[in-house]
Amino acid sequence: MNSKLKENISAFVDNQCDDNHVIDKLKQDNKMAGCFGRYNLIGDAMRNDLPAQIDLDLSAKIAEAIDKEPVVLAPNAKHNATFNDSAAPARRKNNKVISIFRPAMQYGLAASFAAALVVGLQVDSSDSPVEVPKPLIQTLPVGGNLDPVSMQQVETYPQVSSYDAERQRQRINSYIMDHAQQLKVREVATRDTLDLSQEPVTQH
Amino acid sequence: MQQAVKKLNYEMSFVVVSGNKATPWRWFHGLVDDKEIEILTALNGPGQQMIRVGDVVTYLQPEEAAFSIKGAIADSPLPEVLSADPKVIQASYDLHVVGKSRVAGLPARLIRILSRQDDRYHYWIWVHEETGLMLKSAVVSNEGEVLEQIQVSNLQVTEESNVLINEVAEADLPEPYSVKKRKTMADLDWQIHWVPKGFSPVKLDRHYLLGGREIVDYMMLSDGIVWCSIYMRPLNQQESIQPMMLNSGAITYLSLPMRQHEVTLVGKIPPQTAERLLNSIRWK
Repeated sequence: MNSKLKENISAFVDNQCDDNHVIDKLKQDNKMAGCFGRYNLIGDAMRNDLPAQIDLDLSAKIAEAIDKEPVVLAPNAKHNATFNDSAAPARRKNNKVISIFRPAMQYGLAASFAAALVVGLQVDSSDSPVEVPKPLIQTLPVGGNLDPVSMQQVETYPQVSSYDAERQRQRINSYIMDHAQQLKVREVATRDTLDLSQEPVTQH
Repeated sequence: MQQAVKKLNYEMSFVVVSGNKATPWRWFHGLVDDKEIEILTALNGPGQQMIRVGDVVTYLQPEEAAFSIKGAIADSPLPEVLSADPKVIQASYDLHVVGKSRVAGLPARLIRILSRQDDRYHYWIWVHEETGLMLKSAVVSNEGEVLEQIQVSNLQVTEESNVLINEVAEADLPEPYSVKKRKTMADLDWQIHWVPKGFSPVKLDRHYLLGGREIVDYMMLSDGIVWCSIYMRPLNQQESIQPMMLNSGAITYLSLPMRQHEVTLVGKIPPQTAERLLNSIRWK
């Protein structure tokens, strides 16, 4: 699928499309329909509008539903006609403008995926009736520190109960943030505080 | 090298590359009435700044009140070796001046700071031949894999300090906190029986985990170049956790269940070292 088509779909999702053929093309092309579904999902994620459960197989189900629809034997012929002739030069003109903007468009997509990931990982503390004393100093990890979102799990272990696993995931974020805070309030390490001559904790 | 970092007026832009993340920063440094002032600004995302005036570091973060800490090392994206005491570095690392190359359009020399033991990471620093300022740096594993990099893209050394530096010199910054009195090893009912040579505990306390509702025993270990945190959290009777290891750039996260406790380590040390450290923990 070319990027021009993708841009059209994207514009259509954002209600900024002046090209009615997109709908027609969407109806005919499975891949495009899938694309349409994903763009809508990204949009929802960015607006913080995600359903509790995301059904990722949506596009297939929609296609199935469309298949079951009664076939209309006289599709809008007018659209098909213009698709072939009069609008063609105008589209070619548009093409040039859009090709300049393509890179930005792609970055935009990448950013929205990141946004979706962050939404998924946000710690939900609403179930907590316990009052936690606010620490003296609140900090955020400085850039270059561990970013919980981008972590790679090295090994996978057998599943525990999902409640414990969820709490553990939340705690990983807490530990990483806490480490960042501790780094900010550490003392200057000198030869005295480091005590290089002897190692009090070790028993080599 | 360290003299240059402290004595010159300069401004540089650099990018920190860690894993698949790149974060651009700008760094201003200058002297006003013989007092060192520096400003580090994150250029992407929500504005994040740290300002150091002499021995007071102020952190400015979005949606948080600004705060200052006295007598602390700035938690900055810059490599710790730049500000560490040379004697402290030499206690655990060997310095090798390797070759000449061209970095950020300037003639540079590569200094390798190699750990004498294979239980921690190595540091490579490319410094500007003329001024000794950092132009590039890398955290490298024993296998020679680059885990984290900093690349300077623009460096300007000036006679006069930057306007921003002069503004900070005049500015009213928050009153500094000083680091709290800490606990001693005797207050803990557990002990670490192995640490990498040169590491010692630099901080001990018990606190609420940031953003969590758990109380943890906390120990910070350091050799003057690397800082890592160890957390000890007692588990409830019915609570179970899985061992977990995560990596991001040079940072290792390791969490193990031990004697109905969750023991966690976060820091820039190799996974094998983290594992050996935590497995050496014994209860009194």
